Amino acid sequence: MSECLFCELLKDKSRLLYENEKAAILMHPEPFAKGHLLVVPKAHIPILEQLPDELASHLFVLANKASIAQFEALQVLGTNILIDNGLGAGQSIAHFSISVIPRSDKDGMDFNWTPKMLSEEQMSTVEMALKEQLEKPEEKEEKPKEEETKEKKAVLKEEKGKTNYLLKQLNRLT
Amino acid sequence: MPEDNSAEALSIKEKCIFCQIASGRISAKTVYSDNDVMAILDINPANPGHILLLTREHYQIMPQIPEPIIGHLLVVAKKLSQACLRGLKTTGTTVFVANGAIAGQRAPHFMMHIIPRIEGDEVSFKTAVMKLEKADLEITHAALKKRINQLFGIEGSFPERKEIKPEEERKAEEPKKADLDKVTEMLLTGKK
Repeated sequence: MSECLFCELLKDKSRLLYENEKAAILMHPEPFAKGHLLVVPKAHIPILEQLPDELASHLFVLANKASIAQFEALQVLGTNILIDNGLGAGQSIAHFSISVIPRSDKDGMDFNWTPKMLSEEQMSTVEMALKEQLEKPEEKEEKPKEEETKEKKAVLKEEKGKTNYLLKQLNRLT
Repeated sequence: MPEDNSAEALSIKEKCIFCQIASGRISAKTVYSDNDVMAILDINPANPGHILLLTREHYQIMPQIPEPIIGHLLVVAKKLSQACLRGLKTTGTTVFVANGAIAGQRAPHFMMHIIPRIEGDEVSFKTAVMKLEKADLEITHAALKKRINQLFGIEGSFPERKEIKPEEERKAEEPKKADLDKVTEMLLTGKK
């Protein structure tokens, strides 16, 4: 994993603002604005879905502190928190990170989007698809239950395949 | 969480569309809900499946939210992002928060956006990289480092200040509090 830029920055320490055993806050190597910060886990974990809950929670607490520090030390009137998660979102480094960006008037950044017009039917289809995923019982990856039906196993396998596909895509980047 | 039921707080909740959604008085397509947060579909989505993750309590910006809820938000966002990847056949998600009108926040109620993404969609969160002078960078680095370490209660990481300073002296060094009142006021008036 020595090829990973964020793993390198964690070792180098020149961009460091804060670190503990799990995570660090760094100056972003390619800032959108003065004081653009990066919150990264120390472990080389590519995407959000792979973070243990406890680490995800800790990283967001750090991102909030980074944002508060920008409000206070830079006296800005706004901040953005941004996570590019996966190739589709333009993630370019296969190491999960949270960008914390101080914002000021006329800074040239525009994170607006043009709303897509969806029919009531399209909205309902999306709602159903998401609910179906969210209402599933939590997956225990280490200990698959013995009584699981073959059908269920096949579905899980397919889903795992999908996450693996995303990972493979990301790993090609490193 | 202790609820603020003062007349002023109640009037804010009356006027806030997202508080009305949280209390069930305005209906929304809810995909996830627990005691602290809820997730609904954005009616003006950047892409199909664009989710808004809201706090049930009325916080305007992230610095006002208690730490346990901050942590909980990304844990829920992770589940929502996973549902987008698996259920909507997307190849990524953008997780986005705007704090303050200047940052693009449109409603005075905290929310996280989880936007399903595919390569080549017309959504973009990229912008030009800023070229900064080395000296400027160093000053910013030092100022942020100092404040972040103060927020974590670490004073000793600054070599120039080894001895513990008297309380008054330390207070004098405290940076100005951010003008969060101004940030939230601008959200209410819609003025930039």
